[in-house]
Amino acid sequence: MRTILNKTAAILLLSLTALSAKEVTIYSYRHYEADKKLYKQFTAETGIKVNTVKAKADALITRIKEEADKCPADLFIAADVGRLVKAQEEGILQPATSELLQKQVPKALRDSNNFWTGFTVRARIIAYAKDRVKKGEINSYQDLMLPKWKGRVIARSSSNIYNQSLLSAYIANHGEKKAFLWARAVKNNMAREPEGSDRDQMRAVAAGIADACIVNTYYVGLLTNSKNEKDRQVAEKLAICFPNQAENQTGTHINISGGAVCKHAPNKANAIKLLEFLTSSKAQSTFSETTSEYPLIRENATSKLLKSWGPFKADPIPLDTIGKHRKAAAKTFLKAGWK
Amino acid sequence: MLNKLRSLPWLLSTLLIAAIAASPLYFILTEVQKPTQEMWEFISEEIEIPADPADTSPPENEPSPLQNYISGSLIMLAGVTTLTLIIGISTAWLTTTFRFPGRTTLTILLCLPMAIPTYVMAVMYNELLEPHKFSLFLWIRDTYSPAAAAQCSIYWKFTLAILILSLSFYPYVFLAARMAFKKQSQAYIESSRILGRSITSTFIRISLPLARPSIIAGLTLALLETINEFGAMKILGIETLTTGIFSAWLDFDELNSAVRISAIMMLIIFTLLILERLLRGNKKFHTHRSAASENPGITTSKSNITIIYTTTLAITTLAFILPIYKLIQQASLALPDQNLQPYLDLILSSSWLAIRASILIIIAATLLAYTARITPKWWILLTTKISLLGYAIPGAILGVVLLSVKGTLHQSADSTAQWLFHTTVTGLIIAYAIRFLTVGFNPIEAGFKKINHNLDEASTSLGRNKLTTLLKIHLPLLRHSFLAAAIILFVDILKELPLTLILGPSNNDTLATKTYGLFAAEERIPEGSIPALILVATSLLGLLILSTILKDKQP
Repeated sequence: MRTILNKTAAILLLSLTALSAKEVTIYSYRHYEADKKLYKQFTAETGIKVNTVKAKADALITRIKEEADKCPADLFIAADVGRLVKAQEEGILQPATSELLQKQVPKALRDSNNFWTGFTVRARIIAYAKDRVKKGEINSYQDLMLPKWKGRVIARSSSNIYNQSLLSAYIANHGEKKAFLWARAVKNNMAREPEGSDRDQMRAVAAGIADACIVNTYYVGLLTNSKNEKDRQVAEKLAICFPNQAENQTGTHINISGGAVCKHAPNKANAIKLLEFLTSSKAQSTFSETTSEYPLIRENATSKLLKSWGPFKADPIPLDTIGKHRKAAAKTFLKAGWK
Repeated sequence: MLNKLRSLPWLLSTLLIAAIAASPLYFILTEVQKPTQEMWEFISEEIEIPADPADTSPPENEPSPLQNYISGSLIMLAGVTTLTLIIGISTAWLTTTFRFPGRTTLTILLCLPMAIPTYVMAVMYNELLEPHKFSLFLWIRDTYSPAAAAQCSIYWKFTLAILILSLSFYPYVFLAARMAFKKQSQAYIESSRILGRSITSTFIRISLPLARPSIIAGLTLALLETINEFGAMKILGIETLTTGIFSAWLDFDELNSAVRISAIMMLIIFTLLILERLLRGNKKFHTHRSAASENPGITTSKSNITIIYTTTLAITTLAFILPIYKLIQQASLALPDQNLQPYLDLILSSSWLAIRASILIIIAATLLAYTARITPKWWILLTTKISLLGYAIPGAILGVVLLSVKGTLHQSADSTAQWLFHTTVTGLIIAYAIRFLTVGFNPIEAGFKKINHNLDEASTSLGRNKLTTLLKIHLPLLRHSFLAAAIILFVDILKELPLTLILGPSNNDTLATKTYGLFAAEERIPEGSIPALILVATSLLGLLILSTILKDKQP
């Protein structure tokens, strides 16, 4: 009797440990509902349960650091390369890769030391009012410095990470001094102090408050596909420009959402599997439709809107360089008085 | 001696609560003593604009970012103080002094704005007013100058921010003032009226000074919420100390500088609280008769009733009906292709979390307030005040501070830490308790103040011990205070964001985090309006259930 009991206990225990290994825990800054659907699909295919903790990237980094070797997180997901690099600098990640990942993710969109892997791409572009700005009048980020744009430009606050990454790239390409001059000149050309989100900037441009604004590509997608008719009307009034496309120019600034395996990940193999899933062609094909983000291979975007914009030249600067200049960028913005 | 021994369990409970609640303060104090980091020095200096050929504007020195943060915070505090006091006190006075049909309904209507999270209110007001803002901007730009238009948009956002925060937070003052007015001894009011003072003069000379401790308690909450507000400030583009804290932490990776700024903020708050206590001196505010005689209100003329209705309905429209109308309109855009089933679980889990935390807080607050009552020593009062400081720390900073407490626990007692933070929500509930202890404490303390000390003495002389006195005498008399505390706590915790995000275990979605995800991260207002609306409805349901209990219990 006792042996039977012992055996059942042992089997139970074994199956419990087996069960517990059939999971992966993500600490994620991405709050998208579409991601949740992808995780469900992943569970259906692999039987691996996905647990999520969602918070701001920096809070998650602090949390992983404090939890140290007791941290249940397998995967850290951020919506910006700056945070991934910060996590790496804080020593909470481990290098992790697989043949599949190497194959699926273009080299420029993953860390050279395999600490992180991108899975979606967005570009920071200039949107302008069709009726007041002629096509070709704005061609580069630098154009926004010109006196002719005085009182005609708006952008969101400098504490926003997308602006900071843009300026980090500027610093990496042109140096701190030039970045300061750019930020200062654009700030002086602003029609109003920065307020609101990227979406709000576009609404203000459509209303005539300003003629051009700096926004991320997927926000244009959000407006175009919004449930709110007013938003769609806003999108109607705007045209976009991928800046710095000329041959001697840097190309449009891009950024990624990406994942990284945590240093003390209890389920490292599952974390890699999830990254492989997110970068697989099946998952990749969904992003352009659901969140209006570009897939890793931009030409594969299926959404009508993204296709209509056509191909563009992206700034080839390594993404980790952008991450490394993020503090200098924040400081430069503060100095330039860009609120 | 014996008496002292009897107080011992109470003293110990207070010290224990204080020790837990003050653990974040200890961390903050040690951080402040460390050498300053780069950003601190950078933001506290005036900005010098280097001469530059491409820059046509004349060289000028601009105020340091820190000066900007401080002035932004002070403007908000001044504006919200003025508006919440005006709205809160006037509505409370009108609905308690006069008796008229529909009084209860109006009273409930006036509490409803509490159910709307401030950031939701800000988003909705943005949606409502954006077209008008744009036309005003364009008109000023075209009639005057672009610079005037830019200046006007600064005035606009401050005015709007003060309005939104005041509409969100006046119920704190309203509820506190209303309770005070209601419980005021009729003897004072009647004497004043018989001696020939008008109703208004009685209000200014008698009712208002008597209600002061309660009103201050309510105002304190409103101001603490104001100074810590992050979401709405971000949406409206206003820089305050709190947004500065986030900039230090997120943009510069300098938690130390962030903690330093929050220390300044807490210093301001602590000074204000101490100042008020000193100004109040040793005055006692309890009524001389049994507290049971409530102000029944006086009947008044038709024209006065019309005025009362117009004022209160105007405020309710601004603070509740308009934003809700917009919220419903937005939600209806996204409703057709939404599966509402998952929201049911979310309502239950979010409410259950808020209920558990509220109960814990009410128990802790009662222990604190009762100990301070039976042992009114200065060091007990100080300990009590220190335990209440959790509310003065911005939620996210408190969250990060508690993360480090959690880290220490993981290293020393891992199984406890796992239980607290990973397998259950206990850790999160304790965090809520640290943050919201003041919210529960204020109405309960005010309630204790209204109970005449003679009752305690009578009970003691009849041989009852402290516990029996508390259970048999105080608790029944305090039920209004408990309900007032429970209402505010339930609603506040339901809306809470930063602690829930930072400390929650895996898969711990709440209505608030869901709303936040769709509003802030995805910027999908129609989709986010659905959880927002459900959050408001759940809060409302809580409010209604509690106010029904309140009404039934009335003699």
